[in-house]
Amino acid sequence: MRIALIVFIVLVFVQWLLPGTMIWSRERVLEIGKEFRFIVAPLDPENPFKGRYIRLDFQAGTHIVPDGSKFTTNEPVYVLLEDSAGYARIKEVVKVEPKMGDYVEASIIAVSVRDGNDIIWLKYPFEEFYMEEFKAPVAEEVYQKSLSDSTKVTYALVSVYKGDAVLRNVFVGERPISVE
Amino acid sequence: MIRLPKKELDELVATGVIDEVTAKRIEEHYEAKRKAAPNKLAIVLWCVGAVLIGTGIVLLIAHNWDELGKATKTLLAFIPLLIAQALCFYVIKKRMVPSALAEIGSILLFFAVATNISLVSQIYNISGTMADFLRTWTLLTIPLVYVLRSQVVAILVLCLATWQACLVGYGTSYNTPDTFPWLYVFSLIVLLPNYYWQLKSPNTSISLHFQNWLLPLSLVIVLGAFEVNNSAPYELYFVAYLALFVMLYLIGRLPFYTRHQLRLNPFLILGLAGILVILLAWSYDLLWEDRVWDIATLNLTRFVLFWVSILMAGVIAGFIVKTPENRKNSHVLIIASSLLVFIVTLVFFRNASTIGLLIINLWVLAFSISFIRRGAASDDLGTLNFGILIIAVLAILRFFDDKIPFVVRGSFFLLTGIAFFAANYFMLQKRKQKKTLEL
Repeated sequence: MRIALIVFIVLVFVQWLLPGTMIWSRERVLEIGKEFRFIVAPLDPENPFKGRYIRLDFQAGTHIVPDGSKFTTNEPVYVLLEDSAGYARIKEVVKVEPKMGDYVEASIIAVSVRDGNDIIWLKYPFEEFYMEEFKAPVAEEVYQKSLSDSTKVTYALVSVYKGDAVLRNVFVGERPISVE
Repeated sequence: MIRLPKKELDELVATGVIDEVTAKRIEEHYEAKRKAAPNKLAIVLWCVGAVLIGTGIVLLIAHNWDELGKATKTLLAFIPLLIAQALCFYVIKKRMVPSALAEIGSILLFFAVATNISLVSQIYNISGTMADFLRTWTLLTIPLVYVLRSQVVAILVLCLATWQACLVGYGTSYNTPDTFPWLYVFSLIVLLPNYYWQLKSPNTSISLHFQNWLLPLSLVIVLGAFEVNNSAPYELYFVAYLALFVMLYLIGRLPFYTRHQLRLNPFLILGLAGILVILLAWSYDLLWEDRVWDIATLNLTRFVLFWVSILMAGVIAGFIVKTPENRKNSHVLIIASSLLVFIVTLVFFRNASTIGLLIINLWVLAFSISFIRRGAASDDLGTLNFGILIIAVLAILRFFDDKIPFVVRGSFFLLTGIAFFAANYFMLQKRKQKKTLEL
């Protein structure tokens, strides 16, 4: 009984530690991270446990590199970001964690060649934006309608701090997608 | 529990075997025993209720309530976890393990963990694959199987591990170490001692029957996921699956399983069914056609399934060599040899389909005759008819084979039909004669 109790207390500790760490690291990024606007195209899929979300297709999801053969599928990389006319742009993609600058961790989905250029396709750890069950399908429609209006840009507001990133919200124009 | 019916007791009293006082005491003894025994149906219903409540909470959370703020949502994520943990703590502290309450507490905690991770991921928009989510969920709940001796959690964890293995093994085309179902292997190793203790226990629980079915089924589902190399030849999959089915059949012959009725022995049922399906599939020319195959140039050692098959073949050899009941039983040897016959046929006659087809067809025939012989020898109509049924299936498959002349096909059908009637007739006659002699 004593051993069972000790093991159970350790288990309870781990069961709290994991979500606790998740919350703590995200709160830290939200508090002190730098905000970037990523231009996106949202789609509406579903997760049986987490509910409905819009999956974000990033304009800054590909990057031309001098030698594509140096990158392999599923490989973790660091994406250095810079601001270009108010929106996020990839400055560089490196394999070793940078010592300075604003960067996020990502992974390589694929490496391809287009018009003689080597292109890497990136997967960011913030491509799911969770919404209320009935609002997610509407959000995709809102985005489709916004395409006809060139003044409205759909973007994701992301806080970035030392490789970690937290998706704050998604906007169509200047209004959050969930209230559109 | 065996119990004397009231009618029997009255008869014993009437015939003077026991007196009325003894009859009353016997009745009281069984009544007391019945009251002391836990109500199995009630426990099952409570567990089903707990599973439904748990999944209900998960679905409610998945709605993602916009009206609630971040702080309220975070609080809500931890409340079910806290309640379930408190219940489990109480159960352990009061030494109520194992019990229905321990089972319910574990189930609630199992789902509370999923709710918690889901809600935190939802609040902070944390992306992640379903496979990652299932892995975290499994690892955070698997200790409950031992800490609270929860058999329902053992079943649920095996389901999760199977699902996760399918997602990583079948769901991706990339050839990376991530596609190997490590979590499944780990879960099996962790769960097996619990399963073994259940088997050894003199009382057979409903959850054990569930696990008996789930374990072989899960192995059948996951085996293909072990192969991370997409260029593995399909013949290798058939060899691996045949090895698995033969192994399941031999496991089904262990005393743990043979003490139950056949319908409660899924290892034997699935094993036999699988062996037959594979052999019958290869008795058809479809799988043999249009393939030039050179085993000399094929480097089999780079395939995971090759090593898994070797491992299973080793287990099969162990079962036969170490168990005299298997070693001296020609029927078992024929069934187990199916693997050897299949491999030898593939290695030597893969490019000579006519010979290969002939060998497999003859082997299925030998297989069925073995059942007929065994059925006749042990006066078991079920086994005998199963043997004839295999021949009938073989005949039906050949019905569509236009390479065999109509006369040959017709004669084969006629003979199978006659054999079916004759065997049953003679068997029933034999039984009648035996009964007359006994009288």
